Amino acid sequence: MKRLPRSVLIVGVIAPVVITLAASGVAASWFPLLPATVAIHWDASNRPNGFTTPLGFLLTIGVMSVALAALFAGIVAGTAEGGLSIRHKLLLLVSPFITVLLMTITLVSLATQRGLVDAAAAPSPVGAIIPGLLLGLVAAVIGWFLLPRARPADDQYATSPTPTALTPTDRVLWTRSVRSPWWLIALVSGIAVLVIIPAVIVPSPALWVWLLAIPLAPALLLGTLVWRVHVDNAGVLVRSFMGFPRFRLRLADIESASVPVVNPLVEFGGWGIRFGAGRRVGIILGGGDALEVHRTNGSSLVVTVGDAVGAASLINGLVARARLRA
Amino acid sequence: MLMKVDAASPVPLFEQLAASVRSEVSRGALLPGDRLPSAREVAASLTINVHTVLRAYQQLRDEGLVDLRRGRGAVVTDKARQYEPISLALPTLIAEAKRLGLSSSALVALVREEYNT
Repeated sequence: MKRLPRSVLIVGVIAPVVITLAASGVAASWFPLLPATVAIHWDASNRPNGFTTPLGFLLTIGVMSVALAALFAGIVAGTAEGGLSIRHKLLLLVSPFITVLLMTITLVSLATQRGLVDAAAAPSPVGAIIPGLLLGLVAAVIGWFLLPRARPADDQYATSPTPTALTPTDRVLWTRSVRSPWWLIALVSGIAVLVIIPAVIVPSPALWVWLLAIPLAPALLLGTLVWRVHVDNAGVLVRSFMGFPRFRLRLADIESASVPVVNPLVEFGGWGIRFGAGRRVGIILGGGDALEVHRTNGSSLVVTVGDAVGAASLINGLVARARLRA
Repeated sequence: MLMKVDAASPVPLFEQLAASVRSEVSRGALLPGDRLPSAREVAASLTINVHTVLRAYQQLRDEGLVDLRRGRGAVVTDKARQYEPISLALPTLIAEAKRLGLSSSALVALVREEYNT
């Protein structure tokens, strides 16, 4: 892997860590003035309803912002081959933004609790949210200019496969299933079970709701993990193995098909049915070559299906033939 | 996998369909264990009769290229692996024919003649 510029490390990791440490230092100097437990959560009417020790509070916030910075920097370092795209830069800037926001609210909250005997009287730091957001934004803008210029996004490298040659009377069907990697299926099933078991063990007056939810929840989740793609004379149909959800694109609404290289985390923020920038809806079950069908209205559907080149060529062939007829 | 039929061709539709499957096998797009789309699905997409699709699948079964099982549909057999030498030989054969300026029908005629001796 090519080495990333040092500014990535500075903006994405060092700055958030330094800000966290500096803010923690200031907060630590207030410890003698703070009550034994401080308020950390407020209810809808701004009365505190969550308390912890000042040290516990600082550690939680600190670990959270550093872990977040490490996560985003890790994703960028692992995926930014050949330079940072705009999406990589935005992802990196989330860390300084969140860190500054969190630390502003933390400091304001602790500052107003100095000299209190009982944290139950602590005022809500809700007023610090707007200044926190603004300061975070300033940090992100500074970071933007420290980072190198963005290279074109991955989808600008997308290939447009040459249209398959079709006779005016050819009828075609291209079909292939898309399956998530096994670890994703295992993860989703695991989470579904973990969510459901406690809900069932804890007796609830609405037990029948859970009896319905037990088979439904995993089925709904798994339904978005196995799909089938059809391309035929009528257009494109992408359908979950359960029949629903489904996406239908009539041939008349299709502008073209291309094969972008998809990075699930950077472009779609994960796996499953996802929404990406630029009116892209994605059925993202893996990385690498994907089929992107562009509609005439400017939106598009992205599916990480195998042999995407074969599907895209065929779609382009069908579109070209339809235009010839018109 | 890609299936293609042309109603204007003199070749029967079921033959064209079976040829599509063979060609997908020989280019490695269909592997042993892969399932062919259901006859109903193929018939609907290609707007042909279900019986035409079933006839194509039965021909492929008679060749040993697919297994037809109730409930499981048509599954590509291990015989698909044996198509490899043919799929390797085809590009060479076609390149030679093109170099000589032979049309595809002339090449097919040559192959047919050789096959029948």
